[in-house]
Amino acid sequence: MAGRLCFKFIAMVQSENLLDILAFNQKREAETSSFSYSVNINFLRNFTIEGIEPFLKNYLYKSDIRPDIVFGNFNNIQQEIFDNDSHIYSANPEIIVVAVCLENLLPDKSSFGWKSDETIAEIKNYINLLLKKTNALIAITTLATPFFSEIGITNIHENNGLIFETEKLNQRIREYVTDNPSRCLVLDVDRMVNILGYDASMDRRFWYSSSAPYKKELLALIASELTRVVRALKGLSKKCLVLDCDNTLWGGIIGEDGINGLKLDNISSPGKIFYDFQKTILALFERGVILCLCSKNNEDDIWTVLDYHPHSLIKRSHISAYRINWNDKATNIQEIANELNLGLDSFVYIDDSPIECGLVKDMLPEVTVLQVPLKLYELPSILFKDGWFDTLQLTAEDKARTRMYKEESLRKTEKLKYIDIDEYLSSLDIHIEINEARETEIARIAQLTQKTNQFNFTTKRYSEKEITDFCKSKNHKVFQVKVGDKYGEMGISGVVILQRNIDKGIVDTFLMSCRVLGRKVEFAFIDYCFVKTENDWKVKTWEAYYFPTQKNQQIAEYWTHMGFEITYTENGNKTYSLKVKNRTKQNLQFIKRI
Amino acid sequence: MTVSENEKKLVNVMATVFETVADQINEDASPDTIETWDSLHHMNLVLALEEAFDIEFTEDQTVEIMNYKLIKLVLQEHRVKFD
Repeated sequence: MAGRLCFKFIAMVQSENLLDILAFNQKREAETSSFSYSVNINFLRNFTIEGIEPFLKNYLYKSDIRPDIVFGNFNNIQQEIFDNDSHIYSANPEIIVVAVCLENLLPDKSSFGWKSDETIAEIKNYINLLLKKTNALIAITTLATPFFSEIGITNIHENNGLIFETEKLNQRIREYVTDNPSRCLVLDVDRMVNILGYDASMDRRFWYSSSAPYKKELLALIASELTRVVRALKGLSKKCLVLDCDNTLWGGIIGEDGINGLKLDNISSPGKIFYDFQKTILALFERGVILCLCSKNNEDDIWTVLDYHPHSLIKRSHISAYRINWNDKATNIQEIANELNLGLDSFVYIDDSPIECGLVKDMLPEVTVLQVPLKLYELPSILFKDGWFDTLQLTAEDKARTRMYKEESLRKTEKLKYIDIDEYLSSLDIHIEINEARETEIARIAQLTQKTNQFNFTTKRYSEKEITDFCKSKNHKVFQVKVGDKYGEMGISGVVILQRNIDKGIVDTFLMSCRVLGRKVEFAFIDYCFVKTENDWKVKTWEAYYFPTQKNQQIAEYWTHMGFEITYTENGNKTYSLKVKNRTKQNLQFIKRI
Repeated sequence: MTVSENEKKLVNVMATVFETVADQINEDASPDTIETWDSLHHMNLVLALEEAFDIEFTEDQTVEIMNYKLIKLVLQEHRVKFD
């Protein structure tokens, strides 16, 4: 159990205190309990990198992994690779780290005029041999780009300076590794130096006394990256992310603030923080991480946000399992794990409430629990920084899971290719199927009247019974529209209920589901309903309403656009009227009617 | 004889860095008496002392501090008190 608990505090690299690290390691080594995993790591290096050992041990211990670390002889990379009796062949390591520093690669007398071509050829040769002669994963470092250029500011316009050559070398290393993704990876020391800053990374004192160029902060960062690699190699990556909703996916509480009161947008803080956090969640989804919801809420409220909030990037379709109820979260998460048939140790749970976090930690110690940080701006990086979901490679299976999401992103990219909106819309092959409601459709129609808020002129909520009665009535017509485009079918997406009053036709209800808006279907649909009904009922005048609510502001001008005139206003509720002979037919040829 | 806080701190740093117990760290402690005191452990000793006493050794001092008494002397140069 001690081992499992250890999973929870792999809080990587802040400012590490070496003494604490050493003390922790010695304490763990003195314990008799064994580790769940072990790993055999071998360093080939051209500089003193032994200072990494305490950090590497520390992070691996905290992940319940016992490392066996061997350092090759100082500046002996080539000899050890060519020597068939070398420890890298006899010890059969799982990971070989090839750690190179620039200073020991450069010619002795002057680096002026040094070219990286030969060095990259040499490094490639090492890696090829290691790939052939071992079964290990090969991790190669990039090189810290020198801070000063030996040719001063002319480095900017001279394509042969040391900085230019080092950057080129690093880029070639990255490219080379990308070409061999199953066995190779980069420990991007150059990028880490950028993160920490050059002076905070480089140790000139120990460089001259001990050929040890890196400060402990940089060594700690390299160790943490290497630990992430080991964790991924050992299959310790998390597979499932369980999300709380209120104040985690968005700011505010849906049950109290309503969908319009939530803080979630791509413009300003704190809404943008939650928006960016949702982006990181989607990125994980694209990599195949399973997303689940666990929230104390009314289920409908949560789906309303996911289905209709314009800035909720997380949609219902991304969610594999959920428990939205008032039960305790530990029970709910356990149920989700059972439902998905996944071990709790592959779960990460995030919540803003310290009480909920504490409960889950206590009840389900295998679950990795993250709390929404008090410094809210730290939220968007929380899922990535510790590498919980790292995998060495993306599998085909990972990518397949994202198919549905890609359909939507295709629609979006298509949109960029066209300047004229109608031209774009005609490329979508939009097709609609309109008919008067049939019995099988009544449940969905009633549901739409109950759920739809944004494109809904009267927001009248009807039961299935009431819809059935309308269908039977000679003075009512109920129309539904099914919408599809070249990317997929969206099913029943709009409802019109018309009422007859002698020669007047009244639009009792007109609503459209948000996900089909922007395709001008909302114009084609009502147009068809009018034409059909004008014939059947001999309508002379149309009457329509707009009852404003907090949520339907976007359609306030709709009837005016359609040529209707306001005849009556009371408490903001507007009544409109239009004579049939004045009605112009919509010209929407790109929408095909089935 | 009472042992000062800083003396305790020094012993603790050395015991931790050299992976031994506090009893092993005495006035005569040096690479001759402590088996683990090699060049790599010496680097950790430098870093850990700097952390513990919030100081920075010069390059010369990193080489000078080759036994317990010398460490105390150099620390005193950094105004660390051992009374």
